[in-house]
Amino acid sequence: MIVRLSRYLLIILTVFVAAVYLPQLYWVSFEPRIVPPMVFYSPVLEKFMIGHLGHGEYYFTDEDGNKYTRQQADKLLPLLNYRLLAARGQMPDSLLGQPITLEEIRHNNISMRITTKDINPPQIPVFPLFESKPPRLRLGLPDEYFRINEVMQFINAHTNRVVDSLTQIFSDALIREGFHFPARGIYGNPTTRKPYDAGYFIVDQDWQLFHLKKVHGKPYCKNISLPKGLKIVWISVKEKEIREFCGIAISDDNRLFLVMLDPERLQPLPVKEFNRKTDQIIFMGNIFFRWITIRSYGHSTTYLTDRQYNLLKTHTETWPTKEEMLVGKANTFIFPFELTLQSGRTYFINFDFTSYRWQALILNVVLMLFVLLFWRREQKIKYKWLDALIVLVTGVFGFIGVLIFEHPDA
Amino acid sequence: MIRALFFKEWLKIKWAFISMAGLILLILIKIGLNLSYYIRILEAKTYWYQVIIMGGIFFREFTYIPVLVGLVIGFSQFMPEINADRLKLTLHLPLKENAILLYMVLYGTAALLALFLGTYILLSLIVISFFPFEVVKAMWVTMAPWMLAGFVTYWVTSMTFVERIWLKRGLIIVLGVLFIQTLLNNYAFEIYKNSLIYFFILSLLWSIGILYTGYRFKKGVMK
Repeated sequence: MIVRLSRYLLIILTVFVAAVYLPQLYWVSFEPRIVPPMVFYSPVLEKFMIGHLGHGEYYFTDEDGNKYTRQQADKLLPLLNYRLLAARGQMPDSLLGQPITLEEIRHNNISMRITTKDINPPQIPVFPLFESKPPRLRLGLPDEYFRINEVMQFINAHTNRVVDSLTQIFSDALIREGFHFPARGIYGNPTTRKPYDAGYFIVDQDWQLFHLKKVHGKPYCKNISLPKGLKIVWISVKEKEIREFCGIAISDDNRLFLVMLDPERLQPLPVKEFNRKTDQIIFMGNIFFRWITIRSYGHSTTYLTDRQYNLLKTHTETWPTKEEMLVGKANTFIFPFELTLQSGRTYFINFDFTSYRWQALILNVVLMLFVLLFWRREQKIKYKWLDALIVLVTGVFGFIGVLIFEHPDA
Repeated sequence: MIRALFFKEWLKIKWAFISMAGLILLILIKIGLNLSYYIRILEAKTYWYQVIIMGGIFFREFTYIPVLVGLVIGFSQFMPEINADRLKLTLHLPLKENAILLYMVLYGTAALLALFLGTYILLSLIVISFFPFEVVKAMWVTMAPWMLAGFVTYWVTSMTFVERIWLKRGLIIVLGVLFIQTLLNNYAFEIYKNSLIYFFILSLLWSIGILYTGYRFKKGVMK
């Protein structure tokens, strides 16, 4: 009995290994290159411009479907290509009736991308709190790192011991602003390679949001008022040269906000559909406009706003996914399901199953009949029916398992 | 009887066990020295940044060590049994055949557990003297799948030795290697955090695999 059990366990292991590696082998052999289109906004045409990569050449279409070569598009997207145009002497000195300088363009151009991988990456919850106004101007790593449990605790890296004075001062500052320990989330951009330091944004036990930074060694702490019921579950902090905002906040119901500075507040972005588990955020902007592209699997929607973040218009793009192509359809007839451990959507290793493909049953039945009728014909049927069932459900994966591990009493 | 069996197993794996314990100790010393070196040379705050913020795994040496340990213990325990078919004699001891095989595997598994637990405890002591507790915790979760891979390697080794057909041995090895590969990712801290429990359950399935090949061995399956 236990011997037979051990055999079935080995078959389960074979199904697991085959379901991970065979589809992987298939896609490594046949996966086509898919480059999703990139959406921009042309202040010259006042239309969306979509960049495509087709057959090795880069070209643009506008929202009405007119096609432009890359050369033609350069002039239609002057704020994006200002360096190129200036070098060629083709840069206009005014746009939309407003005079512009290269310095203004450079300062106002912005591009941020947040992928699913950036949200909740593996993280050790200990952070360096930078001095925001460093005496020698350059940001430098502090000696102390902090954690937030029942207090905000600072640990000196040299001694690996808690620094009581800082712990006291910063915990008090948080408590004075109404912070309830411990923290649900601590969001910052701990790098010295940024134009300035915005510090950290901390969500407390009651979903309140706090801004905390160190200024001249002292805490600067602000309770940022939020609409009732809003739960912020992630903030991508990215300090840019333009100090209007310093990141994008995501709520648990997948609404998006810009984290504005001076004064601190959350600016809602007019994005309708977004899913932080699957979608990418591409935030772009220039002197006149902002546009936010939410790129999902096979389609994207771009929301154009003015500089006050009022929605002006939207544009949707679609492109074929590998599942819609012949290679993607063919494999659903071979593999009844696929198991992906590293999905590319997260750093973590998960068991991601595709949904079950009923069309694979054709092959499964053929394989099952082979096992029942032709494989080890001397074997009695009573040893075979469970094998046949396994092959019927798991198809080619279980088939391999049944072939490798024949019945011990056969 | 069981004590006698365990004593026999100890005699077989004694030197493998001691040498692997020695190897682990040497690597622990190396990691400890490296930590103190980098903290001295780079400054503690910079090295903390590399580890805590950049996710630098400073104990990468241990990715493949458990696999090596599983392999060495498995070889030392089961190679002598296969030489001149001594396993046949072992299986004639006054105990059920399945029980004998399971006790043998249990013994080897316990030996691995002792080595891996020792690694965990000593490495934790080293890490806690340089880093905050959070890093120790991250180290535990990060190393767990590698240790699991060590156990699976041992179980696959044991069942491969007991199998007599070379083709089947080859297939079991391929299957085992592919499975173990899924456990050895080391590109960031705690990447197995969500899936560790599933990998743990799946890995356990290997543990009684020896019963299948052992049964075939007893029956003298030759094709």
